[in-house]
Amino acid sequence: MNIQDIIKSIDVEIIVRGEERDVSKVFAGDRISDLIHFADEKTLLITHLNHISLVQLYKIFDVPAICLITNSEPVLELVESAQEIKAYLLVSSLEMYETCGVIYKIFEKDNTPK
Amino acid sequence: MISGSYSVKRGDYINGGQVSSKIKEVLSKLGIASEIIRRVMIAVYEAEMNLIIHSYGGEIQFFLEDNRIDIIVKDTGPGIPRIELAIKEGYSTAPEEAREMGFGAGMGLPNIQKNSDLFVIHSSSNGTVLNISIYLKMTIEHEYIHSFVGVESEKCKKCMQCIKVCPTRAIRVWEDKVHIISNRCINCNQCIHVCPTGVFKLEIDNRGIKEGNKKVFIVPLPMFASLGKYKITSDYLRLLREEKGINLYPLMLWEEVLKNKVHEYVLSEQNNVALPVILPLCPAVVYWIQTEYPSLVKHIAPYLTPIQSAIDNFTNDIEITVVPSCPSQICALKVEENLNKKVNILDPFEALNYFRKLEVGALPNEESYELSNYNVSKSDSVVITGLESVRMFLMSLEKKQLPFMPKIVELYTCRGGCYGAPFWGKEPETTRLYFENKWQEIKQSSESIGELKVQFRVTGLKPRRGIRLDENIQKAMRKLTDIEQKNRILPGRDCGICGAPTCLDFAEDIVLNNIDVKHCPYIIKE
Repeated sequence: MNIQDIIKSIDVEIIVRGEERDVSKVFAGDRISDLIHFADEKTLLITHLNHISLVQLYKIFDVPAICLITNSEPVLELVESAQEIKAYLLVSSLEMYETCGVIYKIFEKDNTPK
Repeated sequence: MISGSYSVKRGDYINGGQVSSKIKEVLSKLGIASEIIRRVMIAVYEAEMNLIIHSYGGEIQFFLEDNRIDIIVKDTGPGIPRIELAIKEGYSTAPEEAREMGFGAGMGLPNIQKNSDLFVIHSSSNGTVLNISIYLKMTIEHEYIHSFVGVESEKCKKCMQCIKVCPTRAIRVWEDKVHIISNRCINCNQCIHVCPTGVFKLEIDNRGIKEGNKKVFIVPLPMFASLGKYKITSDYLRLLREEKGINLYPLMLWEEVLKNKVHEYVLSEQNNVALPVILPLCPAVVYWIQTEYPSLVKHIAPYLTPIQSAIDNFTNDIEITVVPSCPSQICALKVEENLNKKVNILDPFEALNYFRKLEVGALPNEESYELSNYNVSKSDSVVITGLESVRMFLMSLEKKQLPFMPKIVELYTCRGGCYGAPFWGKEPETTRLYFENKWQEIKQSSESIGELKVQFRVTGLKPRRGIRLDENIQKAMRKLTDIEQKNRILPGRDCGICGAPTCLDFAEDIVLNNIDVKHCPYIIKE
């Protein structure tokens, strides 16, 4: 589904608006090794990690969107790299569990296989 | 070949991933498939972060060749104390600062392993080297261990001894051609041993020995027995070095280290290993198990064979000449080739000529074969040599019918181990005894190259995919029925006159290779 469909249905702040790309799966996690293992150019990542280490997920692993949670304020480098790579950087007002729950519902409704 | 080299600093989290980015850029420009790039990136990124988090700093090199991408990651220490722990998922020694950033999941090396086709770790307190290879396309050579036995069909007089002796029934004699079924061949020496006319030989792309400079040779001990005079003494090694600039290293050096390592491994992992542990000394035995005894693969100790480890003990700028004792050693060097090593493989007969011509040292007397006071070796491992004995052992182990369970076993397809390779022409047991008694003296006279290392086998061995009748399962099933039908009309005497070792193999040849059924003498009679 288009990233816009997700943004519309959940309370997220758009920090960086990227290119409109399709998202066909979602992965939530806080370990870089897990993230790079699962992430690809169609994956929305949800994570607590608000750190420069996420930059490479945009740059090397072509992730179209990263969603931070609980209103955290993204570090500068992350914002810059999202801008540079033209990818989405979102911040959800909800906690990890709730954010995932809401997005799960969106996918379920859309009936797109996750 | 395209290559690049980038350095990585310790603790440089800010720039973490930059090397990976650069390599990605190159690969993307070259139009490498994105799935391959992804695998390379996971491996390189994990390695890069490892350098930042764990090492004193290091460098990442990549080499793109026709069909593979090789990545070499080197650092200057402090080394991985226990590789077998480090490659376990979830095991991490990362500091708190790294964990806060989401690193230190203990998935670095396992992730590299998952995404590479070949992965070798070599670590000491002076540093760690990772050799990572990813193939662009899987081809038959990478999938299978293949044959390194060369064939000169015109020498064949059709005695058919080879087809019977081949342990995996990989040889056929068709009309005027001797054929080796490459993906069945385990590269043992048996056909070379048995052939009275010398049809079989080692397949070596010979580059010869360059003149000048320092030369390093890795040779089997029994080669010296064949110089006619049991020539290898500490004096001989010293003279070679001083007069000709030749440094000789007997392969035995690494065999010994491997035995000790595996001994330690068995002691420390006693509850987690499948007993008996099979020492990976003879590559042919390893291939044989992979081919015909897949359930026993887990018994093989996770180390590379000595010949593979040996060449890794020298720096890249040295050209190493290896004299193999059998095709399986060539296969070990070629199939799991250590990256970027210039290895020159020299035919045993040529090696003998070469050393004879050097005329170094006084020719020892004929009686130099005398040993006073010899010791009989006391080995902890059970040594089994010769095809039949090894086959019997593997079969009994598979069926759980061994009278007792030895802890460590040493298996060799040649009778007498490498001392019994067909090139040396010496009685193996006495030769072994001679060298075992001379060993300490010989060992001390090789020029030191620091602590000798053997390599842990990080990517586990997998059973080899056997011969497939057809890619298409429907066709394969039809062929199988066909083979069974053909087999029923054959006499079942397994005489071998048709050129196949058994009637069943002949039936297979009829179906798969359009061989005429009339090659069977009994069919013609009827």
